[in-house]
Amino acid sequence: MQKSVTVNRPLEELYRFWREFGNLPRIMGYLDSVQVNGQRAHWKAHALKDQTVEWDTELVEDIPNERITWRSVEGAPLTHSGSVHFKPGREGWGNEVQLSLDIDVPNGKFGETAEKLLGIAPTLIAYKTLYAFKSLMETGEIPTLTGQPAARNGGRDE
Amino acid sequence: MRALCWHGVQDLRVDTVADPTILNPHDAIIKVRMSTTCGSDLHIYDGYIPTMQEGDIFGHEFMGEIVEVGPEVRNFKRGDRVVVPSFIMCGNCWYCQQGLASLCDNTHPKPELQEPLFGYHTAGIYGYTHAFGGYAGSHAQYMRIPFADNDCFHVPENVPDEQALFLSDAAPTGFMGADFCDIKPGDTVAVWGCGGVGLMAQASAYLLGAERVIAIDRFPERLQMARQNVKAETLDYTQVDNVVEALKEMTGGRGPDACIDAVGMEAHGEGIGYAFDRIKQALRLESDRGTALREAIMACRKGGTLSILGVYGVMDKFPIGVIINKGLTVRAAQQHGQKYLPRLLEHASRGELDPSFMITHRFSLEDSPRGYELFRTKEEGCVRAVFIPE
Repeated sequence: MQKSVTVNRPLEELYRFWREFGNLPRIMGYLDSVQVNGQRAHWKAHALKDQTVEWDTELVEDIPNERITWRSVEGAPLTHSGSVHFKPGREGWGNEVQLSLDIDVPNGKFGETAEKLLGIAPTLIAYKTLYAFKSLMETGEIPTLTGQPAARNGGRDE
Repeated sequence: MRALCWHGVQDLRVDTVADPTILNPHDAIIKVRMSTTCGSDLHIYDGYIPTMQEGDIFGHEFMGEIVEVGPEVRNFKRGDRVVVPSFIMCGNCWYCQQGLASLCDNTHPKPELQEPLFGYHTAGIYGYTHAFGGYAGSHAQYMRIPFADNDCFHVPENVPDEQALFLSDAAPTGFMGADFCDIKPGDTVAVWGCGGVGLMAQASAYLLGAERVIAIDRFPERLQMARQNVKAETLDYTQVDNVVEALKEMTGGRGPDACIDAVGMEAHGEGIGYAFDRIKQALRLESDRGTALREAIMACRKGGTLSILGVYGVMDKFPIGVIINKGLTVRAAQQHGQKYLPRLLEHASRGELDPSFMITHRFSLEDSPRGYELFRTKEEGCVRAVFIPE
């Protein structure tokens, strides 16, 4: 799956955010944490209720202000590769960020798809992630409903 | 706090829910002073717009008073009386910078829900389904306002709550609809609908220099408001054989220079086309009854402007060929209220725009479900019901 967004911030700033993988849980709601250890990273996601899924990735490519590519290492329960490209965009709009993501659960039990595991269809992840990223970069916050009042869950949205 | 919540089709209840809190640094919390019914709520009330969730707080047209501000709010403080447009804008993205607030890129918390429908997502809106953001609505004692510096507007001291209230939606939506018509001296503007938005579109067309404004509806009390409070000419469509012919006769055979649809998907009408729409909508074969829009397209003079404010879904059998062959300019949007608010507040402050005549009924928040029922049936001459939280 591949999606693009144009963000009105300098290229270097956009690249720096992504290069620090520990930032990614802020824009990918299904992630709990990403811990970086040299060229490798350890990803943790809250999967189905009370379950977590963890996997490791390695950095494949890193060209400052242009491209970052990573992929899961062998044996991961969830195979995952991703690439983000940065390029100058149209004057007044900002710079273009293109995200390619590939997520799969190769040895999942029957029906244990990435969608079930992560609570979001992989086809929606890229759009949601890129616009959360854009909002954070352009406004300093990500729009949220978590904690707002509603007549359910004891009076508040979770 | 107490809030009017959606529990299903034509099932609204006043519930006790948590008080809103600051969730993001640019948020403010307001105490709602007045909140009102909007015609577009009826599409949700009647179940034609999906993705409400049980327990959602309803309502999106309101004004209030700041009670708390987040750490990044600069221009407002506790006690400020404010009016807030119903679409939320961030103020930073390209769309906001062009004055296209309802197209803001950065205020929809679930943009991935809307992209498959529209190709892109819109701004978020209060109390108006999760496809449109899922923000808690205004029929409540308190409300969270994201990006308060861009979305709250100070109400001048000499503008009472009753007037400021409608600057949240009906007035800027109507004004935008008239602005779309690019009105030239001598122009005639026809407006379908004498609800809140229609009446405001009529008043705005005069403010923008229209020579004649023709208001179309069937409810005597609404037509009376258009005549008395807006000084529009009126056309009761139940009293003529054919609205399009009647409009042509009123304009020397030329037709109105611009036509504004302030009705939307639950249009009433007469004849076989309306009956057909009604059946299809009842069977949920289509979401829209488009009588008003179809009439506006037919009536508009060649090369004229069609300005669409009514809310629609995905209408089939849409007469696009008429638009092409008549060379009509079509303008449409959900309200870009933030662009128009400074000007509208000035008009109100100078006494040139007083929308408070539209208030026909007042209720406490506890009685608000009754307000919606009255507003839906239009009984007792209800044009707008206003809720005043305790």
